[in-house]
Amino acid sequence: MTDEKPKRIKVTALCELCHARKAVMKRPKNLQKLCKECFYNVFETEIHNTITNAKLFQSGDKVAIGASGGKDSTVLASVLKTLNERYNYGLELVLLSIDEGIVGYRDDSLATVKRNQIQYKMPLEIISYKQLYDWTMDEIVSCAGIRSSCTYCGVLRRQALDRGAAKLGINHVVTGHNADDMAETVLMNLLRGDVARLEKSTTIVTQSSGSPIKRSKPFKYTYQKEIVLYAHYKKLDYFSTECTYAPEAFRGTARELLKSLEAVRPSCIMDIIYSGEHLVLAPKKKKVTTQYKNKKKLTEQQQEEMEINPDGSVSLKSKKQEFKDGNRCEKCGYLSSNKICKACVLLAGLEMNRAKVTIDNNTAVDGAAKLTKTLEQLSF
Amino acid sequence: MSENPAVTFLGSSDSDVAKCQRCKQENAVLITRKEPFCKACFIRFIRGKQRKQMQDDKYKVKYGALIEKLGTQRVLLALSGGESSLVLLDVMASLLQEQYEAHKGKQGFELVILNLNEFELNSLNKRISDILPELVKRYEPVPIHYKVLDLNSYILDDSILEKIILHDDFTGITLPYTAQTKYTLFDILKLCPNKSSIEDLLTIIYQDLIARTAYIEGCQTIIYGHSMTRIANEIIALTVKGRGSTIYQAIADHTIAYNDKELQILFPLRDVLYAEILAYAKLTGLDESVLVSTIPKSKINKNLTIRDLTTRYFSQLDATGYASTASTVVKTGEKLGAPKVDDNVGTVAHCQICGIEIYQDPGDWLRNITVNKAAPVETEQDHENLQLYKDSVGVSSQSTEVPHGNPLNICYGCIVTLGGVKQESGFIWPTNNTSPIATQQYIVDSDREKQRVLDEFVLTDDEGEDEGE
Repeated sequence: MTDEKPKRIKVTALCELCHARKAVMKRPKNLQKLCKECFYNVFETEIHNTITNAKLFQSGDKVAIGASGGKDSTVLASVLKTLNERYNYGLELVLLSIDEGIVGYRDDSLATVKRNQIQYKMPLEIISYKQLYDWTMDEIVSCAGIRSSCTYCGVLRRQALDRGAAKLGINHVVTGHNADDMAETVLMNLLRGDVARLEKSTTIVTQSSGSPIKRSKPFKYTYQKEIVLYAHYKKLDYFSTECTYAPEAFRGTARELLKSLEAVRPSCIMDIIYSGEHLVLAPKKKKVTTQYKNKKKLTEQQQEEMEINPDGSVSLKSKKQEFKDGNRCEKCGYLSSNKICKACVLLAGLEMNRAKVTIDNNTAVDGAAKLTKTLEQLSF
Repeated sequence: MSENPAVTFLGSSDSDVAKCQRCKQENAVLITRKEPFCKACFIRFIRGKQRKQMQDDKYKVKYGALIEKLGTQRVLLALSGGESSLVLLDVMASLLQEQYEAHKGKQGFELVILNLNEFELNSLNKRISDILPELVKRYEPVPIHYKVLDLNSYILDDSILEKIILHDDFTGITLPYTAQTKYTLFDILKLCPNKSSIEDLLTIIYQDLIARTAYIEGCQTIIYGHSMTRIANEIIALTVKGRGSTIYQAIADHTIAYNDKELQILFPLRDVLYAEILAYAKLTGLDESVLVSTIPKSKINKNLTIRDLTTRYFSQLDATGYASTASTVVKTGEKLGAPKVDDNVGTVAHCQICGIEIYQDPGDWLRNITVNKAAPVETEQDHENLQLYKDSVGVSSQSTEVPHGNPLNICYGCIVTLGGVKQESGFIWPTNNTSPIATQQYIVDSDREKQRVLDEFVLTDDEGEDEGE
């Protein structure tokens, strides 16, 4: 429009915040045209605001960063290191990785984490499914099929992270869950009718009362696309392949919806989180249905009956009471809302189906990732 | 592809296999909810869903003391001309017909149809005014009143318009709007930054116009034709628009206060799937009266609105065997309640755009996670650029001083809706639109038609004078 002196940068091409440097990107969150410096500034400050508003850390805390080697956790490690130095959080940061045992996927991403360890000068601890549960994900998939892979992996990883942190004497794990993940979770909880999780789905810190380990999500309000841009401009070293075991089909539809919504209105990810934070369950109406007919007194024998859920878990006795935190699994001692924790139930199921005999040098258990990799390296 | 569609029509070939499970006589024409239905039983089944939702005594034919206690009940039916509202009209009219026959011409309530004229807005394929007389004739001898209202009547007069300016820090102000020209609704919609914003504002406008008409017409109840699928869609759309805190109200049968009156809002077809509504419309021949927009829906995501996208999502779920999702979402939405009031706000404020309660200052929330501060300017060249920018701004506009106005109460959803409105032009909106009014002008009014005939041909006492307008 107004460019009296067309010698250098046009005024209209300047960053919308500093009006001094050339804009190089459109900010995914609000489509502002920004220069690199201003983008770093707003990106980091927003995360700093999120951390300080939620009072996530205290000086002297030892914090484990759940590091997969992917973009989210790599950027998380980088940003936390930056902020820790800039604002004197006084944190001791440690990288904590889980090795699920997916050949061709996790081994490569772990190599990235090992490089990050050197780049950020942070200690690294790797906990593997194999040493913890005596199963790798590849083995689980070859035994239980690919469809339920995420169920197993999710349940086992949750526990593995906790156990890894406990081993390091750390009571706070931060994960790279970003705003897109949060928005997707809000939608999924609505679509699946997960009433129990509806209210809690957007909380930044999650902790069970009996557990010493809390988890938090400093990237709760950070757009995935901005994480990608940050990693790109900062030239961060991350591993960008998706897990080869397919995500759940229904979640895929929600993800697709979110994508097209974001194209129409970029703020919608924040909007969904805002909505999610304001979803409150109505106080339960008490239904009093007094039973007159066929009313029998419970015999002692009946009182000793146990309810076995369809998935094989056993409910705790006090059935009428609300979900209570702090119960322990009878088998492994991990937190559980049932008598036996979900991980133990899943593992017990797997154990029953484990092949009794193995073939030497059997490569059939190696998952699709291995095969893809081998195929990639073929040449004619 | 469609392994488990919500409604399956049976062809003539397989009809000899399946008998209707209700009457066990007729051949089934379709399967829904895993049950084969014949035409009559299916229609009865759908009507039953509405009967169940409106069991209250006030909608029944009343005798004796109950007449005085409940008074004449008037029910306003919001009719867009789409399948759902046409089916609701048919269902309601059938209830009136049943009452008429069973109670020798008595009725439990009076039915008033309101259509907000979208002919221009959506380039509809036909005018509602051409269809309504025919439609109403279907249900004779039951009288049904109908009115068609111009969308522009939302703006009662220019004096209630205000100019709204939203700042970068998500606070807003209102300024008196000094009108030189008459401002129409379409002028306001033109200020919207995108289609989704227009959609949001139209929702606010429709709800207000419907409530206002119910108030003026003395209706105690407003009914919408929303199907279960539509309500599920609404829940997701509200969530996506940052209006999640209103779900608990918006989708439940609830009452609203309009001036000095209470209006009850009901969704009588909330237990009916959209696919079942389409089937009902097809079986009863109502589908021929459906008003359709002649503007084709774009194939490109970017040109669609948020509601378009969520609607498409649910229809895709229907087709891919996840049809039960709609009912899950509705059940989940029904369990929601009012959010807790933020201690910092103290009392609940009302949004001056859409009127909903504000529980937490949305500006605070946004400012924390959307920083608008620049990184320090360092190099000499940068300083030069900055000076260049300052010069150019100084020349092109002198709006450096911010005009002072009254602070604006605005909810999160409306901040999102108005986000992207140009700072210079601002936004024009009737911020105080609830002043009570006694009458309004309709484009078509069935009562007025009759009155016109009476006025013209019935002789009054002083018949010599010309009283007509």
